[in-house]
Amino acid sequence: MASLGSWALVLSLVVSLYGAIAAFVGARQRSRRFVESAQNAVWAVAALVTLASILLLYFLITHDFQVKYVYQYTSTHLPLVYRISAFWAGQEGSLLLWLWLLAILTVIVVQHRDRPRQVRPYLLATLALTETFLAFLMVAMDNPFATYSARPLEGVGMLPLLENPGMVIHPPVLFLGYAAYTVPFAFALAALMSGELSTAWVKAMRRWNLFAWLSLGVGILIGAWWSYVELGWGGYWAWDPVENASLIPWLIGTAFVHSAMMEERRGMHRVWNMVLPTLAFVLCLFATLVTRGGIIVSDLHGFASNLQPIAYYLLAFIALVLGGSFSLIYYRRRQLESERQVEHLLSREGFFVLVNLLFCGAGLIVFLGTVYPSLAQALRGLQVSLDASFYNRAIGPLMVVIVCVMGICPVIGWQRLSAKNMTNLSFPLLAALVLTVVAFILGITEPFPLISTAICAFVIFSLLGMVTRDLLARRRSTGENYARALITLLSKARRRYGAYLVHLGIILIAIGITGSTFYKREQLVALSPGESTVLGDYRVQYEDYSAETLNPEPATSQSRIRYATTLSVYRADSKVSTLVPHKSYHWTLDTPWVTEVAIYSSLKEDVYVILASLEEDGLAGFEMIINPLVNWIWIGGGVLLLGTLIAVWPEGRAKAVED
Amino acid sequence: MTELGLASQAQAQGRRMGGRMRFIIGGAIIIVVIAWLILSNIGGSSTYYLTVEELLAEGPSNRLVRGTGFIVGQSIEWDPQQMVLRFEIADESGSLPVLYKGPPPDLLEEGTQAVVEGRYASSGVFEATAVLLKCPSKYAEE
Amino acid sequence: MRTRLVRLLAVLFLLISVTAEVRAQDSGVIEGQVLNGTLGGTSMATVPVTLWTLDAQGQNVLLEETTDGEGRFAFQALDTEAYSYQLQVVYQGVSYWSEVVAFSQGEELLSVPVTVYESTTSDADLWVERAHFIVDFQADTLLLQELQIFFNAGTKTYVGSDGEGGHTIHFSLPPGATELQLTEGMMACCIERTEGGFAYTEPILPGEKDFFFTYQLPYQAGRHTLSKEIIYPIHQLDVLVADIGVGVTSPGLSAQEPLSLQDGRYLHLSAEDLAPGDALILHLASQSLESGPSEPVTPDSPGRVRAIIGLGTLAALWVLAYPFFKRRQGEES
Repeated sequence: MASLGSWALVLSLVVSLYGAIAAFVGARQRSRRFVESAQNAVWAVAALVTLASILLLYFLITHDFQVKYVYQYTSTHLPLVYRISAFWAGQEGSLLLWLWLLAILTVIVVQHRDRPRQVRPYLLATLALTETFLAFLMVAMDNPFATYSARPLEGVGMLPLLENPGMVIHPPVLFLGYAAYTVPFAFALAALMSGELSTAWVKAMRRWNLFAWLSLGVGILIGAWWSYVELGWGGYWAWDPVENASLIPWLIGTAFVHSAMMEERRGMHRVWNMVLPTLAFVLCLFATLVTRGGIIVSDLHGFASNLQPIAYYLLAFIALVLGGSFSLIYYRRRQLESERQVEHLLSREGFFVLVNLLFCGAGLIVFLGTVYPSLAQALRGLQVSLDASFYNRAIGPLMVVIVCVMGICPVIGWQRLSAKNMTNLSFPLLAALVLTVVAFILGITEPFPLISTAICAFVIFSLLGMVTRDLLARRRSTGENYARALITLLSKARRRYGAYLVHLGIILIAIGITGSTFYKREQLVALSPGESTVLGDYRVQYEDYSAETLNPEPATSQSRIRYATTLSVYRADSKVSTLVPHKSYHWTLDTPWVTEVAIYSSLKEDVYVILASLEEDGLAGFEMIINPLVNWIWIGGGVLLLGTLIAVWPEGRAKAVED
Repeated sequence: MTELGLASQAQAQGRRMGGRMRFIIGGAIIIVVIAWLILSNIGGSSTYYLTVEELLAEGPSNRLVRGTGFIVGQSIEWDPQQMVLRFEIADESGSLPVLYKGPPPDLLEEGTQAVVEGRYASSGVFEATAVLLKCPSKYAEE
Repeated sequence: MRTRLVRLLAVLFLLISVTAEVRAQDSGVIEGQVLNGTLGGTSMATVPVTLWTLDAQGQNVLLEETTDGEGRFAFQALDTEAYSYQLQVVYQGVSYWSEVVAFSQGEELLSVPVTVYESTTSDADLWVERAHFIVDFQADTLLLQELQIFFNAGTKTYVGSDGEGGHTIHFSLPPGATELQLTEGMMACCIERTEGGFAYTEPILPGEKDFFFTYQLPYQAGRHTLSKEIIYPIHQLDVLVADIGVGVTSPGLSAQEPLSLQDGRYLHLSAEDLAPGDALILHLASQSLESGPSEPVTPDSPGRVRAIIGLGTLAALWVLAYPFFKRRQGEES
């Protein structure tokens, strides 16, 4: 049966390659039959890959350990939900997931009726070619359907660290983002190849672009949340190469979202809008290169080169994509000249150029920081590693400027900054300054949090000002009450209000990051049962401890001794929470100890407790952390999601009220 | 095209050129600032990576480094009251005592490859601010 | 003009980021004594000693001296800050190295002994203290890993028997072994293939030396026998075979409890005090397909699978070819 899966992948490879060629021929020869055949090809690929995915799921769920992948990542005692999430636990499965998502997206993209005839075949060709590459990787090297010659009775099982809800959601959403970024790239390439370089292509791919950007962004946030609650080191972002690798395409993608708007409205940034989606797509491939290809040397591996075979193929494909795209851009450069020039720095056009540069600059900083150890070793033979402080110090200033621009830009007009704009900006500026002084008086004296307060307040007041002006204008013209006016605006001016919400979400995330970075408090304390300690506004009392053996027979990866401590958290003499941080010893595993942290969350802060050690007499060592404002990061993420959904919501027949 | 028309066209062009100049200068400034942000921080944030052999050879110093070696199992000491962890890392040339104030990492055991970040103090002990461990290989002697 | 300015600024920043050089201090002295380990630590007179420098760029020869009548040497005027140092003595064709030393802050004198040994061509004091033999399965190949911990219990350096062309330790490989890879303690420079395996060409100093290598063998399910010659006495041998349903038996080895390691479960056999001339023989017998504990097995009837594959391929081809054969309506665009 597993050979059925292998066959499905091989046939997908052949059919997608045929589809890419047929689409290309159909475009050049203007042959409708070739294009239709290519379209059928991508349907066939979608069907085949869906079949392969269902097969793999089936093998995982029914414990078919003869399939190597099932053996390596599951065991008979693994709960159903983690047998499903084992699909993306390893390299073979995650490639299959990526291909499956791409195949489905391809079919949706290509089915849309509104494609100009010249463009559709090139869209097909690009998407099919990417499918070919992914299928090729699996067939040539990482076949998820490889089998043993005999059937083992039991599988290795999943690492306990991976058995939690975060790892069920995070990879699929992230891969959805990677797969989705193929679409804007395909649109760009189709426009270049067909010569249809009017701004229509930007309009057509707008929703796909936002979808990809949202998926990737939400995927990154979920990953950070998982790191925070599961890895249990007290933080959510370590500037790890794997984390960075998913952030870089998102930063470029953010630049592209704004840049695309410029082309749509003003016919500008046309070369940028060819380069940025290409880079975003390539950086998604690069992210896989970092996560699975072993190109980043690290001190944990003794700086030994860990280059995997997949790295060579990924690099080759990246080179092909970059070479091909940039040649096409150069070839079409005359048709890509901007319709308008940026005349004044202090105009919306000027600020959008600034946005492009800032986000691309941030992406570049993270990229260079990630590859620096590998480069240093390859070029100078040095063995160095880069601290997290590099990223904080290099990106911090950029982020401050970006946030300021977020507050200014929606207010000012095209062409130039008018006097009215200045008036509209002055109120938020004044309000922000007043708030900052109040914050200073209340005790926030460090420079970065003060700056952060100022700019976040500025943006929030700026947004409020715009919404208020809109509401007042509407009321003046239609006499509606405020609530109705707001709802009407939300439904008619979706793009603008969606964008406001997204920017608000970013500000909330920024507030959360500032609070949890600068006002974090850590405490290492050893307590005996009955003792308590003071942590910030709280008193934490260590009540009791226990050692419990779970799942002793038969001995599996789930067999463990669970050492738990019960703590009561009091604020102002009233108990607010019971926390149970624990450590489990999985005696059958090579890496037996697994720690689970306990968190008490509120809007103001998190009380985060890690059980460091537990002696026989109950003496327990705790690491206790107060993370202020950290939940605003997740709340901001939700607002971001909501805002993007509003922005992409399809409009009815009524024309949107835009500026 | 009248002369006047040409003249005003040239003037408009001149204004546009002026605008473009300012725009290019602005862009260049941003690029330089980004480059400065990168270059000025790379040096300060790099930490060099030394084996136990190299650390012992170099001796105590004041710089922030990362050291690596295998953990010597019998040397692991955990003081639960003070929450202080002591252990030794070693390679073929010798061993180095390490002091770490914090919770003992989950993977800490004989034979694990460890990377410690901190300073090799003049007391002869490596004062670690961070301890990172690599998953042990199959060959941990039972 | 602008680009020049930017370039100048870039160069300036590059310079700023380069760390400053420390002024060199040239007053270090390294002295020591060359001792003969075989003769109980007696000094070695008139022996050449070489001083090497070590830094991030590599190793370099700095100075050479000969020891005096008491085996002592001293190197003067050394840079105390730029390098670490190591001493080398070549005796009876074997290179002996001291430990790596460096000057601490303010230190100007280092005392470094170097121990050399007599050479011997007898391997009587050489044995394998502990050997691990690990077998993994991958499709139709066996992946084998061997760890051998050698011990030279004598007081002389073993340089190989006469007429061996510089071969010291021999390793045997089962017939048909391919993809030999060496790490940890062996460099490709110091290995030569021989009949029946390969040999190490560097001298073996008294004490312990570890060797680790991997190779592959073709494998056929069913019954498979693996055979390997034992060349040196082995005090403790552990054989680990991945537990994927293949049974392992071996004459002379006793079965132990299976072990659970990082990448899976392994069947474990062991033996003690194996003598040279014996052979290590492993019989691998795969069990026939069996149903797991009350789990329905996916019926693997090859005929049905082939039918699905065949029909599926035809269907895909038809879907692709259909647009070319359907009745055209109107002109082609």
